[in-house]
Amino acid sequence: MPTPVSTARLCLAADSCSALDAAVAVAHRRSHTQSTTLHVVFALISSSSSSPSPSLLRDALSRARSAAYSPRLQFKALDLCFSVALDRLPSSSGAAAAVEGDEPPISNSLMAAIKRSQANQRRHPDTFHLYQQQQSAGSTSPTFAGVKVELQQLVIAILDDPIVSRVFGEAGFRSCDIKLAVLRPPPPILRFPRAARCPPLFLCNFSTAEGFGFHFPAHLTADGGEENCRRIAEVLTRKTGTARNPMLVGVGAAEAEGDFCRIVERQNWTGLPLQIRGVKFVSVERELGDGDKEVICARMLELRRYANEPGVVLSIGDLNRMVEGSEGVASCFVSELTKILELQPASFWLMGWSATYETYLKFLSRYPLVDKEWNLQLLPITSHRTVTGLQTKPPSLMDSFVPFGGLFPQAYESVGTLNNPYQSLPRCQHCNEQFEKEVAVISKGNDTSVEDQTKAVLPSWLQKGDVVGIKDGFDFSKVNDLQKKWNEYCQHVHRRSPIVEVKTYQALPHLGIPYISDTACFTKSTNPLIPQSQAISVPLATEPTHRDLGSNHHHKLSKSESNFHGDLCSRQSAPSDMVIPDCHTSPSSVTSVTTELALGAVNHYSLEEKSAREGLSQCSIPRKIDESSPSVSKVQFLASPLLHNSQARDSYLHSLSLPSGNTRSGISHIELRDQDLSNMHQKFDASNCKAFYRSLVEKVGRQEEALWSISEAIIESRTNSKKHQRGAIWLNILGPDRVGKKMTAMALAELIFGLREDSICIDLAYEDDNVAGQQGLKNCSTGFWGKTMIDHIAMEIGKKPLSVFLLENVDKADLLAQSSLSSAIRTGKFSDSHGREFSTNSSIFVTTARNLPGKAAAVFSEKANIYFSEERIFEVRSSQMKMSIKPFSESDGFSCSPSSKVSLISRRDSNMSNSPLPCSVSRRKRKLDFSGEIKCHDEYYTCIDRLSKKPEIVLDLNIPAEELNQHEEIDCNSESNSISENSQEWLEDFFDLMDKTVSFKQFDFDALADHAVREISRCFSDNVGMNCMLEIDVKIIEQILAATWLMRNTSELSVWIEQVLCKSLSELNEKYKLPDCTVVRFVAKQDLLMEESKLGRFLPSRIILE
Amino acid sequence: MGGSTGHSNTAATADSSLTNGSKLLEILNVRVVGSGEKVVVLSHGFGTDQSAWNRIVPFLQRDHRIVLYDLVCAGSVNPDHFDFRRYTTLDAYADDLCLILESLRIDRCFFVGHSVSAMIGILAAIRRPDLFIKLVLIGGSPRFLNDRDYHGGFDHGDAERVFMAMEANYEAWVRGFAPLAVGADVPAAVREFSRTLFNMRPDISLFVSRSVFSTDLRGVLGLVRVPCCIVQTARDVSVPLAVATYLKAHLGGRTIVEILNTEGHLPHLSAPALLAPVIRRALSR
Repeated sequence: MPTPVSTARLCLAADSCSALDAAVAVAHRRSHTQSTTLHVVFALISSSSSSPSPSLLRDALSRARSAAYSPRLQFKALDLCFSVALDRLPSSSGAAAAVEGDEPPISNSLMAAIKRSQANQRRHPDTFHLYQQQQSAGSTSPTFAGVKVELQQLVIAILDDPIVSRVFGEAGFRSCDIKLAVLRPPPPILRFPRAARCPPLFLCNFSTAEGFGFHFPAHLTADGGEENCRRIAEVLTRKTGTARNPMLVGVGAAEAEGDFCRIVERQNWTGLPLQIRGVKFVSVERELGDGDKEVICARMLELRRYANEPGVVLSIGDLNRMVEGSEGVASCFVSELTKILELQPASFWLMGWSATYETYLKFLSRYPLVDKEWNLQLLPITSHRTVTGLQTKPPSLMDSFVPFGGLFPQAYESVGTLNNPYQSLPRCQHCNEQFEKEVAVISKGNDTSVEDQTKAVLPSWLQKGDVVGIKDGFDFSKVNDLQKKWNEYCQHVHRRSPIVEVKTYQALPHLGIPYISDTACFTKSTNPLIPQSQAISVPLATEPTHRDLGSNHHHKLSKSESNFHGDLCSRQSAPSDMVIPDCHTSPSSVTSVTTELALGAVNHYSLEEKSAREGLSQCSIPRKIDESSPSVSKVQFLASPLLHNSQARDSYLHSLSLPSGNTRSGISHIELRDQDLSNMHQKFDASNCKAFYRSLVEKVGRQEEALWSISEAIIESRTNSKKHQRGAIWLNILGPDRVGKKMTAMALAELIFGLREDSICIDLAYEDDNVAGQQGLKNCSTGFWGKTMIDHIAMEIGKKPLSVFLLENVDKADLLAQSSLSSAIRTGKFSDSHGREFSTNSSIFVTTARNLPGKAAAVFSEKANIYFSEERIFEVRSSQMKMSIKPFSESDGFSCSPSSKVSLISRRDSNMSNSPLPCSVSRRKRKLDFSGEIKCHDEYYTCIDRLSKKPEIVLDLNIPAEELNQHEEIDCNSESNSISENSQEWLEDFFDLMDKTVSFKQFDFDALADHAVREISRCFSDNVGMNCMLEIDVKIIEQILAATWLMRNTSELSVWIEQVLCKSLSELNEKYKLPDCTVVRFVAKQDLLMEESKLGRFLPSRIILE
Repeated sequence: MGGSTGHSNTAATADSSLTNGSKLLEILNVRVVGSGEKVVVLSHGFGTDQSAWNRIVPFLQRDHRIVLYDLVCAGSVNPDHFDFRRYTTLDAYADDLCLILESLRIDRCFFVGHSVSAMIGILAAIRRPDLFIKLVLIGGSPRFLNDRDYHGGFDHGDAERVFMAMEANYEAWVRGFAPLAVGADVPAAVREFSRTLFNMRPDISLFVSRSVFSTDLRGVLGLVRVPCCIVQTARDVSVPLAVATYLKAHLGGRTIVEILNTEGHLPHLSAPALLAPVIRRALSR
């Protein structure tokens, strides 16, 4: 049954109504019996610019049309199709038309469309304002039936009509495209789905949007003014006797009172409750300010008269005046007011304000109980009216970024591109910069749309991701070309320069533990090899830079790369997806590539490792790569003691065959592992253990007992792999000597995985370390932003599973790390915070902790006697050393006796007392801790008791000293108190699961210090003579201790004393011809940091003489 | 229907406030996770939603019952419920918070609020001091605009420019603002913050930031009696360090300041591992 047009009109908003009228007119003209959806569409398309609304559909059509045809052609076709469709509709006879009146009624299909759009609009979040309108309308016309449909909604509903969409289809349009175009407003700026449905409701738009009869209340500008008045009124309307007199407190209080006053004066009662409509607002603020007693009393009398009126709100204004003004006036006023309030509570209100709560408190302290007597209600006023208008000038994008303007492009760009761990670049840094410059030029030249302007401002990683992605016209092929150009250039010119973010992965031992040591040289391989090339490490993102890659790989790589570049939108983001573990790309794709590479490669590389042990900080080991025939030799393990000579040590050759470059998931590597397991394990036995131990001790130089346990554990875990389900080895080192632990980890890495750099050090306690940070171990404190500890660990495991992971301070691990570690040790899988798992089967984990919680006392019972503690040495800075001379004077407080020729002075003390502390070097035999081992440096014991009594200042290095002062209550306690109580249980469980727990002993710094002092004094007496004195700054000794701590044995210290110190002393002697009783001062220049010398970070290669 | 659903009338009877409450729990996606006796409410700041706490929750959930909810302005809340007449000041948000706690029958709790929520927490604690054991205010500020003797970090002009930028091109504004707010070089955090910022309807976003900028809690800080812990990063574009000092000096309860050795306004996104121990410590005392 058709619906009368008038009924339909009721459901429509103005614009849709006019569209409907046009449609009805069309139907009428064609003398159709009913007005249908086709009519509406036809009217919308064909109508000229007489009404503004139809442009909606035409706009949408012009955007939705296929690009294959010219717009004119397509619109012509559309017009034609609709005319034909309309022609097919049944037309009424003239008589019928006359009966039904002027207007053909609305067809069921059109009415259904209207209903649909109505329902849709009701559900639609963006049209909330319509309901507001409707609610207000609802009160006046209760018969009102439904929602007024907007044209947009109507069009969308009509497009759903199958008849209409068929006609559109005939003309080559898809109605879903059109719908999308209708929904999406012409400037396609807003990408997010919700706002895309209609233009954003900016406040500035509302003024223009008033066309549909909707008025936004004034408070929509988010000024709290009206809200404040509402709250004031709310207090005022409370029952008498309760706290109903508002006392406004807050910076905006004065403003709020002013607003309220204005409303009352203008009789603008709309927002206020009935009870207080008609009240009068009286302010006595000025009178109070003037401080004239008479006037005030007169005013108060006057007030009583008001009592007959609907009510009075008396404002006493700013409390500050009451507090600061003359006391007599104020107290008179207060007592008067109290009387009035007692008399006329029902129709008398009081209000006041104070900018701060403190003022109010002052007021109360002056007039106690007044808040009760006056029934005051404290009302915090926390919002201001908005100060300035908002449509002052046309907003320009660049302007709007002015406050941010120069701020982030540089800062973020550099950080973003270089430090972003997710990015790997095939070019060296220099070339990369050049490349980016050129890309920038291209993108700027391209066009100057808004997007581009943003782009210039945005950090690079944003530019390359989304912004570029949504831009259509950007010429990707140009970028591609550029990239190729720079890659090639870089390959030719800069082949030797370090490539950004390149990691060398070395892989070998799924075959148990083939270790490399002085005494052992072995070749092995049963499976195909992979060339150890830097390019492999990032298989997809890297251009093949290595000459020796087989053409096979070359093809593979370049192919994958070209695929890669084909999708340029993700050019920058995709590699990151591949490289980091938290990618969405399936890891199998990566694996498959590496596996293919592994299978295809038959090259054998033998590595010659030279000078591996030269210098602690040497990182790069020169490698000679020779091409050799495929090796299929079985594993040979030569534990030959004959090779143990120094020449062989320095340049021994170990041919390594590397099973795969698999660096990410354990997949291919587990496959390989299965084949090879059987070949390997029987080779380890007790004698190997000894050899392993010997090389380990050689590389660490101390903690022999613990190292023996470690060697045993490692050999055992490999030989008994049957009972040993998990592949990873977990060791736990307790006790002091942090550097020793690190050296152990590095030694293990070197022996087992071939390189010192295969050890990754992660501190679970976020401590900043100074000494141990940079001695070949990777320092992980940077690049840690935004990741939880476990993500960081997981990433490292994912990147480089064949490593020794040194997890320091495991007793300080946070909860997440605890659970991850537990599951890793149980299941062999380390999960990160997103639940992704990384196989740990080929890794070695070394966890360290100071000691078991609760057992602290036992381990450190002797701590009291220790002067040079480990913590103290940890804080040592590497400064330059300086020698100066001064004549001896008696006032220095010690006699020139031969027994105390050498003295230690502490800088801290010298500031206060300037009394050098004699250091008596006394011979005292010390009991050795365990039999059979001889410690060379334990014979002497230094008594520096007086020194040890000096208090030490402990500073938290993480917080600048000024800040400590500024915020006195900053807690310096570590979180240990809150964490330790619940982690102790965990720690015990965790340690129980370990393969082995060993304890390190205290590194005896005191003995070493004694040794050093002795060496120095010998050197001194040899070079300068018996009658001079040497004063050594304690800092110097600390520095020497730190240096020696990092050494494998103390002979290197002797070398330094011999070569540097003695030389300097003799130079000094020559220069000044030191007379008798001269004091030579040997001090550390704290303000001058030394650069690294060949003897490490703490021993300078020369000493400054003055 | 529509815009008035979230509206709770303060004069409502206890009965209707209960139904209001349960409705509100649904609207604001209130979730309670974790086990433990201590109740902790985590309240997110402007431009984020409760997912911002995802990286903090694991650190707390073993020992605490955690209440998570979305502010009504968050992108994850149906914008229908954002009543432009009601949420003109932050008091309405504080009402919501109190109502949530009431409906969950929580008598006392810790409150961890970030940015805007720090303000909301302060307001709620003034209104209902009995509800809160302690406030942990992360990146909170009583007033963002500068004043004569107060350095809030923004000039009036700055603020207007920000609003204008938001209006002119919300997307571009988000792209500029997100990395700036995150501060530290943490792309994941920037992505996350951008996502939640985009989720907000621009008009609501603008409206809320206007109401935040017009808020001034300086006069009422003394009314807070609950102990507070102010957590602040060493460099924060929105909140200068001086603000933390100001808060400490003016808050009425026992107050401590914790400076995180990191950058940015959103440490829970950019440095959760740093922030979590601080929160745990604050909750333990």
